[in-house]
Amino acid sequence: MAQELLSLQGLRIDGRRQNELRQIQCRLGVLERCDGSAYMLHGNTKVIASISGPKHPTKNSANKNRGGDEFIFNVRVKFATFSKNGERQKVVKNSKKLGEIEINLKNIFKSVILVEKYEKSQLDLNIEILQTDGSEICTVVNAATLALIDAGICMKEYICACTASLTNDGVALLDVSHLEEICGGPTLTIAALPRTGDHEQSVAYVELSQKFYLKDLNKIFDCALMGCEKIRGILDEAIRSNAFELVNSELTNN
Amino acid sequence: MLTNKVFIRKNKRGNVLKIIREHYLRTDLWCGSCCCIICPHEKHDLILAENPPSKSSIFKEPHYLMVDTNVILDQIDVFEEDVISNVIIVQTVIDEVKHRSSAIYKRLRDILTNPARKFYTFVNEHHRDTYIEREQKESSNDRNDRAIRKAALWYQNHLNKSTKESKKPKITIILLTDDAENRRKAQEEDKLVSCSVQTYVRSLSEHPYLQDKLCIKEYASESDKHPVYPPHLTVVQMHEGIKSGKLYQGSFVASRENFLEGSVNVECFEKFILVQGREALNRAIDGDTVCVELLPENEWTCPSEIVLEDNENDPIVETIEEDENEKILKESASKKQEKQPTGKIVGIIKRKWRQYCGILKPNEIKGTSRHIFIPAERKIPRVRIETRQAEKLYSKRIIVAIDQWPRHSRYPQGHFVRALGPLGDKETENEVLLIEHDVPHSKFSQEVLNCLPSLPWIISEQDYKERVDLRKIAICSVDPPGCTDIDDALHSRLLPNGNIEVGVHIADVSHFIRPGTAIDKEAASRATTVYLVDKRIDMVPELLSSNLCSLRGNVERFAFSCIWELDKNANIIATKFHKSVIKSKAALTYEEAQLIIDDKNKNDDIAKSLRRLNELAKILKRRRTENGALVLASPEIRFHIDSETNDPIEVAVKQLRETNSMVEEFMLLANVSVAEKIEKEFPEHAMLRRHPIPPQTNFEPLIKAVRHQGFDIDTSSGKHLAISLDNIVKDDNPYFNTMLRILATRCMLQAVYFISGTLTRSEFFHYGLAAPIYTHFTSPIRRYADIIVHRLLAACIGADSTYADLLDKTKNSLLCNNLNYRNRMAQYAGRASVALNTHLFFRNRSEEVEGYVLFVRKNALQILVPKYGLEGTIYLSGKNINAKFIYNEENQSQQCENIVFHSFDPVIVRLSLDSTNVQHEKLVFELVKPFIEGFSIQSNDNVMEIDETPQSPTMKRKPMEEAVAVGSGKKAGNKKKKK
Ligand SMILES: [Zn+2]
Repeated sequence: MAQELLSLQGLRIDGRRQNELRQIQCRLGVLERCDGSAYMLHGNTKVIASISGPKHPTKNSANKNRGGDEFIFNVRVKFATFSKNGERQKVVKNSKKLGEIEINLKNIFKSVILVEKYEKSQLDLNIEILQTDGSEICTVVNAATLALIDAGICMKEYICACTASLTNDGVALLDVSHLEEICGGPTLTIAALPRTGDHEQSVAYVELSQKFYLKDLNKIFDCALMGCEKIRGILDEAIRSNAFELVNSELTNN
Repeated sequence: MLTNKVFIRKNKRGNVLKIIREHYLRTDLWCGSCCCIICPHEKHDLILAENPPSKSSIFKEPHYLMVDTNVILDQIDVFEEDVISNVIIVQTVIDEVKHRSSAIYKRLRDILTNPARKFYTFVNEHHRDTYIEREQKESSNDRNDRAIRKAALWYQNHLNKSTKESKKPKITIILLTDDAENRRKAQEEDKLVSCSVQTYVRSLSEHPYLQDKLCIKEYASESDKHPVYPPHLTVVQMHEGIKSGKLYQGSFVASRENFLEGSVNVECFEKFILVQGREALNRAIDGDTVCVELLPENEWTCPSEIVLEDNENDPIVETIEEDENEKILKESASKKQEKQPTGKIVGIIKRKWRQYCGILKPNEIKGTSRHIFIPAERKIPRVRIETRQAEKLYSKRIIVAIDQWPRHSRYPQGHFVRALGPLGDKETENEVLLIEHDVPHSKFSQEVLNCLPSLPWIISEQDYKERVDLRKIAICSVDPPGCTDIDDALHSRLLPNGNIEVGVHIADVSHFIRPGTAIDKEAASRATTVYLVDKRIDMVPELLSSNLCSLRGNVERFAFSCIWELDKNANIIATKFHKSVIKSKAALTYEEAQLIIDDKNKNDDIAKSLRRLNELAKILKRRRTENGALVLASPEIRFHIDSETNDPIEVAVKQLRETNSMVEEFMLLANVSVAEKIEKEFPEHAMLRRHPIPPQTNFEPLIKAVRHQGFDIDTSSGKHLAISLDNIVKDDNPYFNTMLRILATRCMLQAVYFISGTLTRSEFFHYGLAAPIYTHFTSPIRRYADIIVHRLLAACIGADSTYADLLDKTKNSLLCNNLNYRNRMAQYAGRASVALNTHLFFRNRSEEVEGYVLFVRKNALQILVPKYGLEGTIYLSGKNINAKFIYNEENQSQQCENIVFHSFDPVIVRLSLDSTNVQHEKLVFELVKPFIEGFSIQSNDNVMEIDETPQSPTMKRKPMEEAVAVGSGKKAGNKKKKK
């Protein structure tokens, strides 16, 4: 029997209510050898993002770019060997799925990075997914945002990503776990710039896992957007406390 | 707060996986008690009474009940009683019940969602103070028991704190559990009040009859009694046996005629494995999935073909010696020639017990509480139950559930669930036939009713915008009299180009029933509305079926319209589909519509529209018949029911008018048009209906019977058959052609729903209608298949979006299986209802009527009585029959001296009711003419009324005579199944 996504008492399988995020923990600057990095634990999805650059284009990249003056942005995504439920994954390099994620990430971030500042330079984003438990793309986007900020890259806005699903009774569920994904509800993933302009939120990326009734789209979309805003608050908090720590340590060092 | 749950699981490939799941613990889950002053309750959370009155003689103080999982699983019948209230069910129990039995889970859910019952769900598994982790070496059962005790303890402390502060009466938590160890731990370690369900229910002194509903399982060792049956193998032994090929798994089918015989349907065997004798049957009950061992070939035997009924007089006392029945069985079996694989059942893989209808066997020992229950279904063994209200139950139909079948007990042990009502009472007997045909007929649950739109239902501006407005068009509906669930309405009008626009408007049920909701699931499970002679069991709640969806006259309703442009010769020029708002101008009966058509003075829009439709329908019908559509017949009858007594007072064969055919033609046309459309747009996922071509062997009895009458019938194709049926007429026997069609109908297979992607295009064929593709679109109020078809069509035209399950081939194929099963059962239930009413009709009368020989059998004549649409058997051999009949297989005849019987010969028979078997009354056919000395009975001239004043209220019939006929209905059912 298929599990119900929302019980009669209004609780989800893992005990959350309909509009609650999973637990999120994040830290900036977790790696030392790169120019920026971040660690993100969202539910049980664990991601490390690292940035190298901006720097002179390597020969390889420059060639690919046919010697143009453009900003070169490389994204690499990798799943750790035991990332899924302890079962050893076949390590597939350059698989179609990874390729798709990489292209999406590239497009998402190119839309917020102030590209004109980084002409003739190269930026590498490396993502390692250590453990998966649903909504991986979101965690990857959020971690990358933090890493970019840690690296001091100029951006228009934070990019935050979140998922939402729908029960059979038409209730929108925020932040979909792996178990909820396989229970069959549709999953909407969006990446948004929660505070561009006045009140307008602009959306950089939308993905739908399956079909659902059009009339529910607004509901599920609003739910995911609300999640993005909540996540923005969490990222903001992490960045501020990181900055605070940096200032403090600077002060004590001096 | 958060904790991670870690599981170790084995996946299908045998790999061991470590699964980590988040598990959130909360502080915002409340206790649901009105006496609580701690939790910030919302009003709707307050379920448990502030001062629950105690009904128990042991626990006199106010109390709430808490239960463990087994209590719910075993005693759900007790908990369904209103007497039990103020109960806390913890999440642990709900999850376990859901996992162990979906049927009981559904019943539990119905209780929980009914606020009047005062059952509160406490989500202990996500509560910060009541969640516990499984300890090392602790079994998951023990962990769950501990979790329940923990929740009980939390409640007790929580309530104590509240009542102490508010100075209200103290409330005790009573933990009900039948597990002695659990009870001990609760009492000793947690200082809780705990007792067994039995103790508690027995203490409800004002409700002594609740005790009968207790399911009492004997956990005591069985060694002190002599076992009647060999032991069952363990699960592991069965598993190994099946794996190594020594044992086989299959579903057990009990014989209806012989209680000591049954067979197992094993997939890898072509034939059923025969099982004979009490020990070999080894406690298997019809429907169980069993593990069977094949006997060595020299012990194989064959079906006994004898009727054995379990008639033991003193079944309370167990006898060990081999009984008479077994001997009879052995002797009769060994005589025969053709041996068949024979086996014995060594274990039960899965029980398929349900609740059974039946009666209590009168017990000679007065005052005992142990009784024997005789199920109405002959395939089910008798059941031993305990009841203290036997005297009251003797005259009633009751329901019993089986609890267990230990080795030392000849019969399974069960408990009384409820009484349906007095034997022979119309309501009761209807209920019996619904239960026995597995027709879901309980009231719609609150959860389902919550899905209904609120009243007054108003059409919004938005709705008008999204739909085509057809309110001005002269649409009308034509249905049988008294129809309240009007699915369809029609219109036609002349177009400027001389063509005719015809519209079929179908109730837009899928607008109200959204996929995946409780109401949708319920409708999918019911699959169809079931029509009994005097009762309708709706697929969707009445508000929809008889009001919001029903296309009643002069109200605005939503419809799904199929509009054609037809030329004068009824050729389709164009077809379009859209959702619309209509306002039917008149809800007519077939008769009224016919009168309007025939009345030349009427010339309003409706009359013109109907006349046009009628003309077109004639053309359509002619074309369909030319293509090979069959005009079949089944003896359909109507009862005229006395409005006072609800008893049938007159039986008439249903009358067909032109207008019946008119509506039918356009419904067929709409169904075909929709089928083509959805198949085109969703070639893999369309839900269609097919009628398979019957194998030629099915027609053999028909061909043989007709040959005698000097005719040849060509059954090589539907078209040839249709032509043959039209041409074979006998001027001296006007009913001959009808009988032929009845016989032809019997040769057919059942029409079924299927998903287009699962079959090849040529298999889509609908034989009866001679249509290459067909579906059901026109009755969504009463058929679930139509709802799916509506959703598919809506998706095709962009009126609605699709959803994952709509395009899931596997799920929808399973859905089709359920629809097909329910449809079949609904059909049998309908027939059983007709049989029931026929029996009521004949209860106090016997009648001599004209009949025809339908079939000649080896030892009997099958007789059809057109007046009542009845069929019955006259046995030609057996006890008390002195005449000698000679059977001629070659020309299918029976001869007694100079009188010969062939198929289709007219006879006169007397019909009367045999009520000797209380549960299985049957209609007896006796031959009056032609008269055969020693066989036929003397004519009594016409109708003889035994009871001269049948409607007189003073004439109360004795209950023993009032029993009914589930039996004959079932038989009719079986007959069809074999085809
Ligand atoms: Zn409370």
